[in-house]
Amino acid sequence: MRRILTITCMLAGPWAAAGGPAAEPDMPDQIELRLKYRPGHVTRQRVVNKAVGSMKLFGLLPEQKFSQTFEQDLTIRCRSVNADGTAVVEMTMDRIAMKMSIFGSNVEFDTASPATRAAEPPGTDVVRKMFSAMAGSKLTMTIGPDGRPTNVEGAREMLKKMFDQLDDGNVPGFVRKMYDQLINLFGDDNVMQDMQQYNRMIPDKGPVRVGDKWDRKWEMKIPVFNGKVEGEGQYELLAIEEFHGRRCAKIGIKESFRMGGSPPPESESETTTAPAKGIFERMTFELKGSGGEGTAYWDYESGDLVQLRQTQRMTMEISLAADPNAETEEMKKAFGKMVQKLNTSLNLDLLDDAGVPVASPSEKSATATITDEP
Amino acid sequence: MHPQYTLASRTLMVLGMFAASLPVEIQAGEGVDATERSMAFIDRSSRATELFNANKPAEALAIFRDLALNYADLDEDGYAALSVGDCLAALGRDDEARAAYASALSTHPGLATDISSRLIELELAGEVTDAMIEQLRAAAMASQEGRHAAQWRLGRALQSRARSLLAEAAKAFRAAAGRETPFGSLLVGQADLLEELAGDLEAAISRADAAWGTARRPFWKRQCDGDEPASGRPLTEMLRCEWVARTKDGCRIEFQVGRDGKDGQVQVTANGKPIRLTRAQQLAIQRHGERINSILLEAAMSSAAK
Repeated sequence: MRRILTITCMLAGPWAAAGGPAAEPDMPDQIELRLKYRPGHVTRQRVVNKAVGSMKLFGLLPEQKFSQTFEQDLTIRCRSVNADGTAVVEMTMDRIAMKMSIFGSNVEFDTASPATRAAEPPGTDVVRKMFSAMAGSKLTMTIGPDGRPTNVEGAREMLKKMFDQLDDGNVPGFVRKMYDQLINLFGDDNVMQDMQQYNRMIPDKGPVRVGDKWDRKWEMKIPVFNGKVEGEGQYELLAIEEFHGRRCAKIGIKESFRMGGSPPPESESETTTAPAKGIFERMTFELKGSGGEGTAYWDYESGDLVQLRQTQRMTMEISLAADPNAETEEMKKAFGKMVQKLNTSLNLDLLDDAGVPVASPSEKSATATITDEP
Repeated sequence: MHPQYTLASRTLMVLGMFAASLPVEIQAGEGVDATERSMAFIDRSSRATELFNANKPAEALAIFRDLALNYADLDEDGYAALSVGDCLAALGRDDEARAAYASALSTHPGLATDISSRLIELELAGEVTDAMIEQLRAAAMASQEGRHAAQWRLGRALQSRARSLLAEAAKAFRAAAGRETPFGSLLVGQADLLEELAGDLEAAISRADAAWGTARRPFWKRQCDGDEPASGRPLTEMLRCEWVARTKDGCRIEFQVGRDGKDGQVQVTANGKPIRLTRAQQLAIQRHGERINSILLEAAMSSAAK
């Protein structure tokens, strides 16, 4: 579900950059970043997302302290490269782990060690079911020569499998409807739409020198929230240097975004027989991002993203309009504004053969993360 | 579990996941050190949050204090600054908590409403003053925004006051009975009943607190390290009883009451026909059942000891 970040990683794997014209033994003064796919090229990555901050919830529920760590180990494999330059890339979620702290308790689960504890906090069983269903899932993407995906398969199937696990037959109708909406939200088409934005770290024109900057703008519709994300980014080649034993482009990134939603349509009158709305149809959703820091290290020879560190602050406000046709009296009411103020971070590292993040240039494993299958 | 709690927890999990998957805003050109420092702030905030939610406020406090002191420039939302006060409140160090909230307010004026709420909760956790009750009465009448929260707090303040007044009244009756009066036993009986009512009210307050659970930390169950306390209420595993009542006009009704441990709902028949209880009636029977449980258990243990 860490779709955007995950997708960034997915695209990172097959990237290949041609070295600059001056192939000197020391670092070149300019490099060219362009996409190049190699059949059989495999990378393994660990992506760790954290979010921490406060949540002011609906109604009288008091403000909560919230933190969540979501960790994924991914294998990205270039299956084939077609004559027209498109590539088929497969991403497997090898492992998923999550820690969530809220409501005065901590829920923790790792698909690599799924053993249950005697006394688990409420919600652990839900997390276990969801992530157990996701682990091992594969997404298959067709990516054009320009890096834009033209087809995505597997996301919808993965989500359906996940939510099926949660349906024990006692799930209220409005929750089931929410599941359906989430499947649509994170389904194949929407994932592809997201992915189309994620070649943005590549400059349109090359080569680039240290100090060069380039910009991007993008827009992403989120129909289920009646809104869209508008983003823009500025990128700068900060340095060309050795990092973890690799020749890397050190890229500074500044990306900003804003999401705004249209108010949900007016509620029908009490006498209407219209069906109950889904949770997301009733939501007004606003998102504001603010400053943070970030640096990426790209191996410009192999095209692998070696390390990525990013942070951001954001405020998310959600209101839920009344729905007189909702199933229960409780759900017919409007819910007050829910405000989340979160600091989030992203860690991305290559994994070695033992599944350990590559951390030091002295470690031989710096090159062990990448294989080219016959 | 409160229905909103269930909905909120499910929704939040999904939304939380969505939130952290959104694109990030990143400052170019400020170097790895700034990034790593920002990452460290988030890592340590997460750790402190986990400790706080695991009911380890002393350990969380040490981290939040360091973050508020040494990472103040990154604490734009005042999360660490406010959490210092929350940890102190959870530890029962109310004066220090108030000072920490004041400090957070001075650096984050935008948190005024949040801090005001916390200060009221601190008051409500202790002995409720007349001034607090008047303040809440005014807030409950005044503005639309926050009115429901003020009404909720006013209700809690008044029930707390009622509990104190009942105990005080019982004490007064008992003291009066201590003097030699011909109505001494009557006064003692009245004191006994009032103490019973106070205990009943105490149980009702505890039940309401328990329904919120740890979601109301740090102001609920302000114990420090260690496990959450288990409920002290004796549970009724199974209930089967019957009795006969007569109405004012002399009708005879045979009641049969039963409850199994599955859903906790009391089933009643009157002259063999099931009757339906309202939610309030169910609650009242449950409450009195618990009290009967306590009385019988106490009597049984007393007999066994003898």
